[in-house]
Amino acid sequence: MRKVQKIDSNNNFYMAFYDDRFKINRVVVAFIDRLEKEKNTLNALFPMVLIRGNNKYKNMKEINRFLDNMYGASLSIDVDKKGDLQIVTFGLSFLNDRFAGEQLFEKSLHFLHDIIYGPIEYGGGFEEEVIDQEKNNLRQEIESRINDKVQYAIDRCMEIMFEGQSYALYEKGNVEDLAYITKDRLFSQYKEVVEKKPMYVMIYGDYNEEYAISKALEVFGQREREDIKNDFSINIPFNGTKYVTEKMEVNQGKISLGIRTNVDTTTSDYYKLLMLNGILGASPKSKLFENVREKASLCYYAFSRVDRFKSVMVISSGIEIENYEKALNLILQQIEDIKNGNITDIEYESAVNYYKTALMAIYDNPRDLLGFYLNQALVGEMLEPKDVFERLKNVKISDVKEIANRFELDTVYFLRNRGAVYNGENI
Amino acid sequence: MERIYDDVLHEEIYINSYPNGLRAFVIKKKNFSKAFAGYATKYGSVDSKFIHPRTNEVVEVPEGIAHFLEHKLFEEREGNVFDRFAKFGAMANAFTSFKETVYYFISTQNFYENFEILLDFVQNPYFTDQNVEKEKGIIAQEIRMYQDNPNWKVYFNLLNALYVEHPVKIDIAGTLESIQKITKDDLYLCYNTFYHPSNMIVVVCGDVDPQKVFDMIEKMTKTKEYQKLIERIYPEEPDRINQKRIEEKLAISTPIFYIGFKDVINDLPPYEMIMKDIHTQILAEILFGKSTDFYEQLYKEGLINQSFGFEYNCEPEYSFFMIGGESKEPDRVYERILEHIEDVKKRGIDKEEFERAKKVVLGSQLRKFDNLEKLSVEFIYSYFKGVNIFEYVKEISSASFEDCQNRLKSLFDEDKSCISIVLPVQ
Repeated sequence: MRKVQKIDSNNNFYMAFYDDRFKINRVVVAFIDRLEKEKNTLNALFPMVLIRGNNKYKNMKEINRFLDNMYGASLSIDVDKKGDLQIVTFGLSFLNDRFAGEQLFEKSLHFLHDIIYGPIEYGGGFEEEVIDQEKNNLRQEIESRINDKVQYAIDRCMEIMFEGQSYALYEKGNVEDLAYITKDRLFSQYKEVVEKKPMYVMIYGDYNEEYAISKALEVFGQREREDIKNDFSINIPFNGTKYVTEKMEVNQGKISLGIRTNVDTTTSDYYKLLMLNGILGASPKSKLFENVREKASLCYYAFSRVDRFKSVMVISSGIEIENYEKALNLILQQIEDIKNGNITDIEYESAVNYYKTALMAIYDNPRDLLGFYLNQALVGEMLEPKDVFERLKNVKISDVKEIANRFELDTVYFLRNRGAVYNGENI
Repeated sequence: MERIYDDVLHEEIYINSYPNGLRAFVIKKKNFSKAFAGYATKYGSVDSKFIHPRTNEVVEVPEGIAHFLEHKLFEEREGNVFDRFAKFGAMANAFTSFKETVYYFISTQNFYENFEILLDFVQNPYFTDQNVEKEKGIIAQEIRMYQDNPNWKVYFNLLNALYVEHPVKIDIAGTLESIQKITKDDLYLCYNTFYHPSNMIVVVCGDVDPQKVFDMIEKMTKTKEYQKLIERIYPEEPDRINQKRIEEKLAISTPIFYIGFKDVINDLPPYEMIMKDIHTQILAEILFGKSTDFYEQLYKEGLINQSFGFEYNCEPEYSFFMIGGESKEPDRVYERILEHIEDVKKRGIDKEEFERAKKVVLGSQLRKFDNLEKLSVEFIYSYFKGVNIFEYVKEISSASFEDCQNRLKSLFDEDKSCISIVLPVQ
């Protein structure tokens, strides 16, 4: 039913997946760059300018009319961070030919190509006015980070933990740099990325994969592109735990813990770490859910997460401000328990099963599957979701215990309310 | 067992009805690795006043009780139901909306074992004074979390401004005060009323055997006798809106806003309601869609950004249209929207734009069939309002230009509109 075909040369990667189960097909084009202060804001800005038009599609309206006529196809741009890499993605989802009653695939490829390469191919640089408008939009987007307090508290924790490192940078850039961006600088960085950085073209849908790849190759071609690799390790010495409290106008306190896992995530140790994560704070019977929420009634959510692209784990929970110490101690107790090997069968089983469902479910979501394979490619593995599961289920409780004993608590971040009285003092 | 095959959508659905009033549906999705099963009751946050079907007495319960019940149903004499699901690897959860509560799981293995657990736990409440008290701490943190969520705030404030009496204006989880009043007895009373098979459906979506699903339900259903229809008491809602403008301050960067239009054409038979919904969606696309001059203009002026969007919420008893996003000047956007509506009312809608909008609406409906969870939830929502989503999609092509034109006049009335804004704290 499902086949994967892959072609890569000179850091041009083409992948196609045949699947006739869906009504929507998808094409994704992703570019990989290093996440660096000098250009992360530029890389976040140029895709926003690209979807405002070029000489072929004069403006947003023309772009959106094209999409409407493709039965409400959706064009999306994403800028992500994976370790020290910044990923710029263009995605297009469109109706399967069977339902549209017309051929949409080749049209889609050409359209995406026109969006990405239009300003170069059709001699349209970027308009100053458009750049200014998108700078404003990007500024708003960056500033809006504070709207989601859960994510904000996690991001702040990581920024503090990785201060001065590229991993601390926000994938969408920063407000200060926006002011210095000129039309020329933006255009040259854009050209640099789409012409020289590694490119991944991925197609998912109701098309023979050989045909899909040959068409995509015809449209996007192959150039000499750079080889860019992520640095998975932390590379800064550990100097004891940092405790940071920040205040904002909030009702609920948010606690975030940044942990150095000291695991080489490019090796099979990664799967041990994943199992630990399942037991600690990802599965429905995780220690955090069970003991911090269900038993102590301290929170509505408490979870942990690991980033494969940096050897780090984050724990996050929303709590009553006065319960800070109680919650922190209880969270740390859960890690201690794992270090001591206090893991029940049900905790272990729940984690295994959680991952099985999560991994197998990826097969039913084209977007997730393409994301999964891109991650695999960036780590230099080409496992299927089911292969990942095979590795996970072979992890033993003793492995998990061993991994936990490598943990170092780097940063404890607490986002709390303003103007509160604590120990008789106004803080 | 009844089977329907839709050769336009290429979708297949199996239906079974039981003597106690329960109905079950299997949406067959061949070759999918995961399966969704949902056990849903037509009982949500708006149902806090009703006539008890056995005593015939009018009952009024604290706000937030449907949601509280949802939390508590996971509790069992020995621990919680996650212990059992964990063994068979399902991801189980539940949610409460205005009009329904849905318990569900997603699994990629052991479907029937998990299904049995779902059917069992929803039919076996276990409430004690102690476990009800314990839950108050968790739900209080859930409420607090939403108090810091600007999107949630702006949404409920809008409903508060649109509605004078209707409980749709009340937060689904209730308030920190109202949940304190909830007792074990309240929970049992609501459970026994609304969790009757005649008020519930089971929806399964995936590559499963429909006959096996239906047989399991038959075997597992505890309640055999039929219960008469539950009469829900909703206050008389006037046509007018409650307030023109509502503001709140939170720790955010750019103001967030919603503009609402109260739809006073309600209580329609299902077919007419479907058509009203479709006409509204097409019309909204024509008025505010991303390919309109209006959108492009506002965007260029920096009044709106990519977060700008709209949705229409259509229920038998209440419906409203809302449009919003982030903007430095929400009031100017409001003004412009009103002007634009007046302008289109004068010149009428364009035939070509109508055809394009239809394509967009069709595409967005078809999309829903690719995602098992979304499809199932949409199916449940639609079913409880008397609509079949398969029919819904087919009717899009029959929507007429004239009806959309008329809808413009009936829905978009300035007097029935209001704005909700969440502003940054200085």
